[in-house]
Amino acid sequence: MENIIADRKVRAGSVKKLRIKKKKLYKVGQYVWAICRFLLIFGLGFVILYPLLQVISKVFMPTIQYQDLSVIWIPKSLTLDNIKNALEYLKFWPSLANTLILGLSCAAIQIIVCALTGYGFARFRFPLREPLFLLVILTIIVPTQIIFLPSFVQYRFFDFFGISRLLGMVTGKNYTEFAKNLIDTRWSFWIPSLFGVGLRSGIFIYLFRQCFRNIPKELEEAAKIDGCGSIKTFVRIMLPNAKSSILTVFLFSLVWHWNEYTLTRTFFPQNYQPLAVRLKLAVDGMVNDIATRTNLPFQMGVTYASVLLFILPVLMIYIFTQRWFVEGVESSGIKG
Amino acid sequence: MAGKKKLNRMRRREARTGYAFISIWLVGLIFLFLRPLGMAFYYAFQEMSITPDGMIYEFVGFENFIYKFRDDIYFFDSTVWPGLSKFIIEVPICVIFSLFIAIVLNQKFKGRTFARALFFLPVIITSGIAIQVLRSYGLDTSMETENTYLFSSNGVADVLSNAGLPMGIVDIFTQISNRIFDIVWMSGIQIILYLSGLQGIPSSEYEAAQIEGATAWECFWKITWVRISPITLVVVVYSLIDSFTNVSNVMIKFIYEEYSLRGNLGGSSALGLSYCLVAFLIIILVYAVTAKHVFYVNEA
Repeated sequence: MENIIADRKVRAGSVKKLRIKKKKLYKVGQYVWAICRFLLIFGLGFVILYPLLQVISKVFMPTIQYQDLSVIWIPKSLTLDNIKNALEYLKFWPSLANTLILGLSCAAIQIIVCALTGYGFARFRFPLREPLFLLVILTIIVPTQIIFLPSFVQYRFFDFFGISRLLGMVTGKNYTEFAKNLIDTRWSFWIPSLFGVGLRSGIFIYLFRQCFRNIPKELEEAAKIDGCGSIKTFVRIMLPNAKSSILTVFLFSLVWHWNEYTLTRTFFPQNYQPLAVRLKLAVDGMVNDIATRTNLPFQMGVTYASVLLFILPVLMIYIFTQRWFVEGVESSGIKG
Repeated sequence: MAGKKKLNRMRRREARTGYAFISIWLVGLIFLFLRPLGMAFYYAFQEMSITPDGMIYEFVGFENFIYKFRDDIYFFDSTVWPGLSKFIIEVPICVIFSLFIAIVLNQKFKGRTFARALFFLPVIITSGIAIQVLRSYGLDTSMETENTYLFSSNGVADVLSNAGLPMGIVDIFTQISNRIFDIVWMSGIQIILYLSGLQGIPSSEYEAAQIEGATAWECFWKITWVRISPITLVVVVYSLIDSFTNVSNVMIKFIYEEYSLRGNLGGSSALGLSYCLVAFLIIILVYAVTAKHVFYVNEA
């Protein structure tokens, strides 16, 4: 009997010891994992920030030090020459104004139109709703490179709903005399935005639909009982409840317009060129200019500075509003 | 009977209001999206030029679709195949990578918000144009264009092949490590999608599994992987579309340059359309295969 009790005691003790050991091991494992996790995030964070860091380091470095092997990250002396040159090559201030005007106006238009369309898809049952919504998806996945050519032709000889063709038929002249040339005007961006097929409008429609679906129906019914029409319900009840989505759409639209290159390059051959276009033109211009063609360090200095000037405003916007970007993606992803 | 009539009338009214709300978009869809899309099909069969008096067209049949393959026998190898096959390597890695990062970011640790913001940063800047410009300068003093990887890992490849690993494996490894930059930069959206999916899994399921004695490995495959499969479908399709339509894709670049540099409108349309069609077929195929393995909680 005593033997058995003693045995049990010993066993219980060893189990306890084992448990403590396991706990310790677990804790050690946790620490090791925490370190690994830190290294992983730090490393990948470095990969993400690498171009930025590189650009920042090179921008303030006198170009003469680019080939100096003893200089890698930290310049021996600082200079603002690169920035000054870049400001000139980019025609920075007018281009910045162009970019901002384009981005802000299109974002505002897209919010209104996409919210209306998204609400229509979210709350009303009508025939062909699902196939039509598939068309919204189609506008998202057809790359702009496919339709920007016909669009270019369309805006070059813009014929609103066949009005110029009609005029042409009446007067017996070629319709192109009445067609408006919208290339090199901001209308080539405003018109598609206005009709909900602007830059990535499909995604915004999708986002708004997702958002309106999640607002409880009771709110609308209450408004209806109080005698609100559908437009009034939409403006008074739905929009105030979709504030975060509106902000998300606004930010995404602004940033995407900021970064758009293919369309802006095509639709603004001469005037109203935004920064993205000027950036590429500045770099290409330096490569082709006899005065700077062989001066590689100069080219690089200006390029780095231009890139920094180009992304800095967006970066600032992102730093202050990153929560809304992330939440926007999160709310759109669930239940596709 | 009267009630049914009233119901019908209400339905019709609802439909009318619905159409009223989407009407602006519908007009835009027809005139500014479907029409240009149709025109692209039309252009594909024409030789055309822009004059001040409008466009001049000349019907050339399938010439625009085949001329490139006939004139340049390396066209398929140099442009079409790399354009289409980019996804074979990138999409699976991107999906696995973003799931892994999402799981890591889903754990509680200091600076999580900062890390999340950091991984999303590429979505903001990855306009292509800034990175494209930087890349054409190689970011370093070496001036190789196009194939310059922002990070290269020749050292790692040497070590591996000296260690006696078969060249095939070394090759795959270097392919991946060379693309780390591309992959990290293209998975911003995917990581956030996965993160939101992970946060939607009820923790009670993990607790139950733990009580039953499941290991973390089993928990991942039996709970996380299954629960997250709808998101995986979204991520796969998104990555595919992104990989096909990205500005840095050689084929997209070629389609753009065919018009902007060489002024061949018909050829650009024809190649663009056929490329798009093939890409869609691949996306639909992948979608169909993946969708079979997706598990939806509500249906079960």
